[in-house]
Amino acid sequence: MTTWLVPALAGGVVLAGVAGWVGGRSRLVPAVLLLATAAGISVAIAASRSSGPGAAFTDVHLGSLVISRLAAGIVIGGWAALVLQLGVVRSPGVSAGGAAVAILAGVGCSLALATTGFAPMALLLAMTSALIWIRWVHLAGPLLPLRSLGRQSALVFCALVGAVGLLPSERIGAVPAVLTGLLLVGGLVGVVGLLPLSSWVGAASRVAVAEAAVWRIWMVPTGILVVARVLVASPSGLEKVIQLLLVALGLATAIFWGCAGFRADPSTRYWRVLQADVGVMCVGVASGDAAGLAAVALLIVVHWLVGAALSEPQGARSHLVAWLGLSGVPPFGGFAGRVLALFGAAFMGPVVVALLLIVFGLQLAACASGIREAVRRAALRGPRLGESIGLVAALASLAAGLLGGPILSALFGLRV
Amino acid sequence: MIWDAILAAGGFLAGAVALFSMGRRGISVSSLAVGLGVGAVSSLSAGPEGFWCLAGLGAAAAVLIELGGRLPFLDLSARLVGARPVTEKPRVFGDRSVRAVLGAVGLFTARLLSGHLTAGTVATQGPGFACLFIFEVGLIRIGTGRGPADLGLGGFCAGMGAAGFLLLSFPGSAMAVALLAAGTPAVVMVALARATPWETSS
Repeated sequence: MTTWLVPALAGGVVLAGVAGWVGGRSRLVPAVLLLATAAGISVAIAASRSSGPGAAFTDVHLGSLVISRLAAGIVIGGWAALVLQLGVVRSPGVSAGGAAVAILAGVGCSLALATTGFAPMALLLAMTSALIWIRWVHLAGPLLPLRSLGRQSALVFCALVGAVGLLPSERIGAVPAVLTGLLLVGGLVGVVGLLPLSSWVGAASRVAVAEAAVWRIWMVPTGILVVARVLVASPSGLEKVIQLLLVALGLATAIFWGCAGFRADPSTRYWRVLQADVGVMCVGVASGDAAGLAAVALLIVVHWLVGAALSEPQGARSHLVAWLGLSGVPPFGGFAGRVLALFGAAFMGPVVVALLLIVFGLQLAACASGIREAVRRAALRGPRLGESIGLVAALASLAAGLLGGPILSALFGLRV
Repeated sequence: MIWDAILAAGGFLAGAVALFSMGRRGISVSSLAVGLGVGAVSSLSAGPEGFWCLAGLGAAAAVLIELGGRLPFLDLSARLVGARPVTEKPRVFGDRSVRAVLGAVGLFTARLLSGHLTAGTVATQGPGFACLFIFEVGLIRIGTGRGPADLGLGGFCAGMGAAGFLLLSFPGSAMAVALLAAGTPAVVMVALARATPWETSS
């Protein structure tokens, strides 16, 4: 099962080192190494999946390395999104250090999704967060949002290792479920950036878009999927606690960042919209419903696509279509994902549904501001190739909305 | 039983050292103290292997931090986070005062929690208290930290506290996980121990 996966991931670590070491001497080297790693790991995972039945999404053992269909889709999709990002910003925008961190973060997240042990999964997430933080501090200096993110990353590590320490006792019922639940959710909430640990948003807007893409492409989907997995695999007493915390924090995050996105400046708007959607995804995950999980997968795909389109700073037409895709207007992917989240959360009652509808309205208003700016700049032309790739990516979000079912089935094995 | 209390008191003292230590020398002294304290506590379940494992890790980290000044390849702070100007910030209370107040709250919380927690199938109120207190010291160091070195030490204390609790729960099978939980932040702490603080400490 893992014959080719382990060498591919180890090769990724080696190539990250090579990219960091020699990438500064040639503009082409980081991009080529990134492409090689993406292709190698994706092929290894596809081969692993085709060689056997694989693990179920909920499997949790100590230390095995097998990958479920959903996790495989996230890993392959993540590497594809990284390549798409590379196409939009092109090689002058990819530094040696940036490529090395993107590869290392990808390998860390791929491993976190492939491992079935909770302890290595938590430690890998914490280490990947710390790696991204170190890179961003190196680039932007200790600005206040980055100092906050540093504290947050350290607290995430503490919460996750604390949960690792307590989980064995929890399984035999010797630890209050609330305490373990708080530590687990606290750590994972910090990884995905739910309130009150949303420092990712402020920090991401202080570094170049190509650097911040690592968080969007890797940390958000991996964090959400790990949350879903922990929720399903946790002991029965813990499941309810985690579910309640996720719904409460997810809704609070979605409303807060929805309001913040509505009155944001162009440089931070996308990150706020993304963070509000992360809140919606967490509500979808907490629902435990198939529609909720499908909503998460679809919103992840949409953000992979439109995030890349919005990475081209001078694009106008690509931005216009990308903001439309995110706005929640049918038949784009943003609409389909949010409606699925609403279906998944419907059983939680009218209050949750009403709050989600408010969030959708706020997201629509925030995206309308983006559309207005894109229309204002419509006469401008960005770099031809970058904008064309961005436009294709943004149009793909329309395809994600129209063909959501087949895409989810083909990429993640989900049936809606 | 008397050994339980003595070793737990030693763990608590190690936590107090880590709580009040300042500066680069303070970080190496703290890592040594925490390694010895948690190692001694975990030896109640994990035996001499548990002690040597965690105490060795703490001692190795302390030695490497001290050597970092003389062997430049051990000090990665300039390459990782760079040297930045320090911001001066007026504060009402000093660092140690804030840590003392938070430490008192942490002491109460650890006492309260350790009365309700059981490490595995063994009732270990005293040792569990020491591990929880050291974990909380880690959180306090992160919350009041003035730079990357403080964050590294905070992560190390929390990792050690969790490793100690894990070894009390599963002495035989959890050694690798405990080493990973404590060793990962130890590497970060050694690499960033000489990083420039972001803000002045009073």
